[in-house]
Amino acid sequence: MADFEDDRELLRLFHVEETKEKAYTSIVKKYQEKLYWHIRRMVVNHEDANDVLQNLFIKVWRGLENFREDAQLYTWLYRIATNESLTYIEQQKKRTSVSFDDVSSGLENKLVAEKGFDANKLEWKLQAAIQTLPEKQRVVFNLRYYDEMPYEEMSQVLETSVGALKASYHHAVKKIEEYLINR
Amino acid sequence: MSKSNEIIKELKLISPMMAELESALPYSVPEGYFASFPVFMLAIINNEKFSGDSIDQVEIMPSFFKKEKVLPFSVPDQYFDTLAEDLLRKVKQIEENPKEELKNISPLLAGLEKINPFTLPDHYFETLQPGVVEKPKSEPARIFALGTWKRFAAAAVFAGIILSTVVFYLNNTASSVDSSTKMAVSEKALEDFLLDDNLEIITEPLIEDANNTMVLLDINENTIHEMLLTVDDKAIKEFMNENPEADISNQMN
Repeated sequence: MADFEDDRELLRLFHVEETKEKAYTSIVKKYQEKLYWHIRRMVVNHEDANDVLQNLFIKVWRGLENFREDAQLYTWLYRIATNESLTYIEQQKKRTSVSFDDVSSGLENKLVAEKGFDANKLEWKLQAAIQTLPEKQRVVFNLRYYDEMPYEEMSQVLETSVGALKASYHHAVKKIEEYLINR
Repeated sequence: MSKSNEIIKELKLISPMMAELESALPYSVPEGYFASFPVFMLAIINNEKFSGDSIDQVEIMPSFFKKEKVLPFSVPDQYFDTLAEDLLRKVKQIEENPKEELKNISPLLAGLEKINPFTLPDHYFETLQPGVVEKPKSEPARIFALGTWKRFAAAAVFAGIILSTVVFYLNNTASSVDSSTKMAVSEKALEDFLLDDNLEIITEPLIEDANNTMVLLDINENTIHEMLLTVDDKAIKEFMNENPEADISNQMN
């Protein structure tokens, strides 16, 4: 999925003081959209996605110094993006004193507030269905359905077995199907 | 966004309906966001690296990168100029007035009428007699604070008690010594003492003072007889002539 040779070269350039900033900018350019949409599908609105993306790339700047080159940059970035998104949702939940069960309804409300939202359109219905999924299933569905991430790579991102991820994806798809049929 | 064959194949197995869906996202992104994002991030990193400022302090880039910090609220003119003095005045006012204090803490409580909800038996205070109810024994003794004159009075009473006790003890001790002595010296011992040879030493001056005292005139017959033997007849005759009423014949026998 990612160009590993290219990533390795970018990491090498990052560790040279003269080319550090250039390498960093290249990494941001290369992954910003993929990571943005991964985050956006989790937190729903742009402002929140922008906050998380900025925090993510600040952590990347600090963390790349100690990044082990035997790990893939691509999976490492997705892992940070996923964790940052979930942490952000958790913080919002605490700030608004929303109970755990109300998290998905909070995200659905954000969805309704989105520009151009139309409950009758299938694409919006699909997004609404995704927001009703449990946290883990939501992440797995997004990574597989939208990012088309191989299970092996997803296993590295989420530190979960391939079998468990396949099962999660299966359950997620079935739930979404049921949602779309019944509503 | 079109799905790859692998994803479509997998979806068909799980849900054919989902496999037919378009996976396009309905979300929108501000125009130029991705184009300017890398430059924006680099500016943040440099800002943090050189000044240590947080991400919110970076003054660059389009507004969609920054959190909106403009507040829609307004403050009265010169509000902060007099705020400290106003607060101090208010605090003092509150401290001096319990009603004001309560009003500030809880307007609800301050608004309530102070009605006592408790009841007493009829005529409780009229029939209440002090001292009728005994205090429980376990209750600790009360400590009273004494005034200056009360302290002196208490000290005087205490000193009086001590003095009386000492005097009474000494008196008792003296009398008990006398009686013990009386008990110890019998009449026989006294008689022996008087008949002792040494008595002469004592009696001589006593006889000389015979007119002044009657203490030792109770002398037995033998003594008198011996004393008379020492007196010659001529002296006795002269004494008899001078004192004809005296009859010492009995004593001579």
